Amino acid sequence: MRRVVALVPIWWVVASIVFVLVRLVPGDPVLLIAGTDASAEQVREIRSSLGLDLPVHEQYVRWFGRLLRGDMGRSLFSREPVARDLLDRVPVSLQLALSATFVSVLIAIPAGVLAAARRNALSEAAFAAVTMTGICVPSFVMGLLLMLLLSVYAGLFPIRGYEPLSQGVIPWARYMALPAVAYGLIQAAGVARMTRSTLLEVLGEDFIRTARAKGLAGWVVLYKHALRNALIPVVTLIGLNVGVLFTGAVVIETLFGLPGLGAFLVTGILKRDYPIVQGAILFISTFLVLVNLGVDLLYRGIDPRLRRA
Amino acid sequence: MAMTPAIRRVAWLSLACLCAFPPVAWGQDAPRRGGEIRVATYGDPSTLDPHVTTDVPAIRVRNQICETLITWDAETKESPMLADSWESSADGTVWTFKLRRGVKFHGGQPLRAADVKYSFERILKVSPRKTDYSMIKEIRTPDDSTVQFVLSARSNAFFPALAMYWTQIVEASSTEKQVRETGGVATPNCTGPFKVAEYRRGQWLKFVRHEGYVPRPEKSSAMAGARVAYADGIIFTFIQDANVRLLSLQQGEVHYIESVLPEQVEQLRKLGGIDVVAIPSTQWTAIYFNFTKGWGQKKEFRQAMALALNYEDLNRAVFYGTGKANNSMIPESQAIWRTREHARMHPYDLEKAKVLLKQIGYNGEPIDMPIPKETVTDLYGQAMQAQLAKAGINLKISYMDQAAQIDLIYSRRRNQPPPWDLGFLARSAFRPDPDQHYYTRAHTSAHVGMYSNPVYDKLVEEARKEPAFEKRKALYAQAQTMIMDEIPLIVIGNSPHIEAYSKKLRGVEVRDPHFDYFWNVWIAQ
Repeated sequence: MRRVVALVPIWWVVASIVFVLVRLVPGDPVLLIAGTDASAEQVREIRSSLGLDLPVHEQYVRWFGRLLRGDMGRSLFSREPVARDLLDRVPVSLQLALSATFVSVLIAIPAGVLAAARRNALSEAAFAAVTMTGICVPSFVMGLLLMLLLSVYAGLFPIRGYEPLSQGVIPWARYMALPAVAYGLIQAAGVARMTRSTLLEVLGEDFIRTARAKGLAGWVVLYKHALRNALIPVVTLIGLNVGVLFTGAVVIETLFGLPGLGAFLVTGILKRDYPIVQGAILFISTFLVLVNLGVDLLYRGIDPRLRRA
Repeated sequence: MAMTPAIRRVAWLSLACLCAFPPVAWGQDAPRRGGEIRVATYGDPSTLDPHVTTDVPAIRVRNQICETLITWDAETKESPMLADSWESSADGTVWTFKLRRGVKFHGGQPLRAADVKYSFERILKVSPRKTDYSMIKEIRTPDDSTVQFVLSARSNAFFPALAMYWTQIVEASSTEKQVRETGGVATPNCTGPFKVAEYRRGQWLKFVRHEGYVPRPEKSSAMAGARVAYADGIIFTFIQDANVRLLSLQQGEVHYIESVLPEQVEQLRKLGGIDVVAIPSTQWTAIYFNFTKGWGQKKEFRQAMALALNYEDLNRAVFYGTGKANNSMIPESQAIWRTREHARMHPYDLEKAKVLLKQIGYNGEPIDMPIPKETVTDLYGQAMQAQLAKAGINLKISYMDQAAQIDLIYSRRRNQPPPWDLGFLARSAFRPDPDQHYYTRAHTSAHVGMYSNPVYDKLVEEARKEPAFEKRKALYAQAQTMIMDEIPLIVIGNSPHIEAYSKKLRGVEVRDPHFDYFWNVWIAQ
């Protein structure tokens, strides 16, 4: 509860910083709305109708007052409520982030464990090559490759688009599979490397030697004693990844035509659509704080010592 | 000439064969009702509200569902649409429009003069272009099918401005209800041949045929004349990535893709079952000179720049030759305003450019040009840099995003002098009247680099007031001559408009980013 209450000042600070930052960035939304042939009078009229001619502190007080009443304002371009757009787009980004995380965990943890448990020159080289490829390949290349192979040539999936879950799990999964795999594979590389290195570290600890000396089976030592201790940094990384996946999927969202938050925010930034940028960043920062809270709670589940602490 | 019996026999035999085995195309080319045309567009419209936005993705989709009082034919001449006829008073301050009878809105309501009045009153309140209509003093509705615009003074800008997309007419009461309840217009109740069925923002937009639509009796000509909705509907899917749009067309997921990249044209032409059309658009690219500081103040420098650029080569380097080298603000497609002066080009003369630069003592000092970081503008920047270097001009390019670049170029709108040497305008918008180019781009009150020439100002001010078309045309030809001689800006050329579509689509006419339409288009079997 204390952690949740602590969100309030974080919100306020983030909201205020974002409000100031978007106005400090060069670029004027009014000129974009007016067009390059607009007269000075037209520019003045638009600025005034949007309330952007007021002093910044007045704009801030108005905006913050509305925010406290739950009103995030309207887009300067579409005049649509920002909150409604966010509500439309957040579930899509969340679904992509969670699906990609699921894919990455499904691949990365077994791969990392396997690489740590069966160490030889060939497997190490293969592991390094595969994971480095995963880290180095940009997401749009991975996305385009999957699209070409599985959609264009094999015809297994639609090229792009999105169906909400309300239309059924199978239609949803058909559209979500390729972006989730493209995004998940790239994240999997980092998680697999982290799993392998932390697991190797733990496998060299005294308590593992003790466990082996006790005559425990190899898999019990590996999964029950070593992996559980090695998971804390891995979970941290996965938690961070969820945040990044949630907010940073611009390329994948654009490529696969997913109406998510990343593409929405980037369009808002490029157009200097202040209410959209402010609303989206406020939402994202809240989400990230909540993910961190979730990760902290997970630590306690994984490592009982933290519960006592 | 009399036919010999042998020739007559062959002719009859040929006719009999044609009747027995008609060419397949005969059956396919007949317009056919049914099916949904699937279109991949590059951008989600910011809104469907006709009065609050001027962005091209919104215009392209909205043109299918909403109509204006007048519109443009294939020669960009104003033609009837919702208004059947019009007349202006002798002093040009009262314009009377007779509305077409039998027009129904998507909601079933008949078009009345009150709807036109409401639409224009709303435009004057909320449109970003409302000052374009500030000459309207009063709107009268003497009866249900007559609208009178009373202007504060004669204005040549008034009539063509009625064809602009942001003056589309909406039904008054349902629109007012939407505005009251939601603060905007999500589903415009217009009169066009298609109407909104469903919209998933950021994904797709579905239109269906407006069954109550009665096409105009005139033959179709661009936006004017008969609009027949052969397709049951149109589905616009928003695909930002040009490669994915192409893949979608190849896979048959869509029938039509817009904004094909110039480098994709050859690849598409090799594919079977696809037509690709690449034509110069009405949008032009230009560079402005700064008249408050630096080398741009010297006429010889501006002349040297104009001579050192090879416009044909720029078109080849940036658009693979699919655009059009053009030094005029009026594109070839707006033929009614073009004169010989508009066809004149700056010659490519490197030696003369070098002499002029030497005369003014220019020694390779850096010339700063901020440009937006986009593929096309980047290519432009690099190609110009290479060409100007041959004359000894040291072009320094600074990259930024579009919003920051526009902010910098239009600094005079914040009452600040331009900080750059060359102001790069990536693309102009389509404007039907030359006043919207020659006045709004180069008049003392408007030139972004603070060019000021009383002779030029007088010319475009006179053209703005002159009622006779031919005299105006002559005045704009003179203005073009002055632009070519004085060089306050250099228009480089027109970017291409490239669209591709399945051969199954018939009746497609690719015209301009602002004019594409899917009425009179059908899907062959």
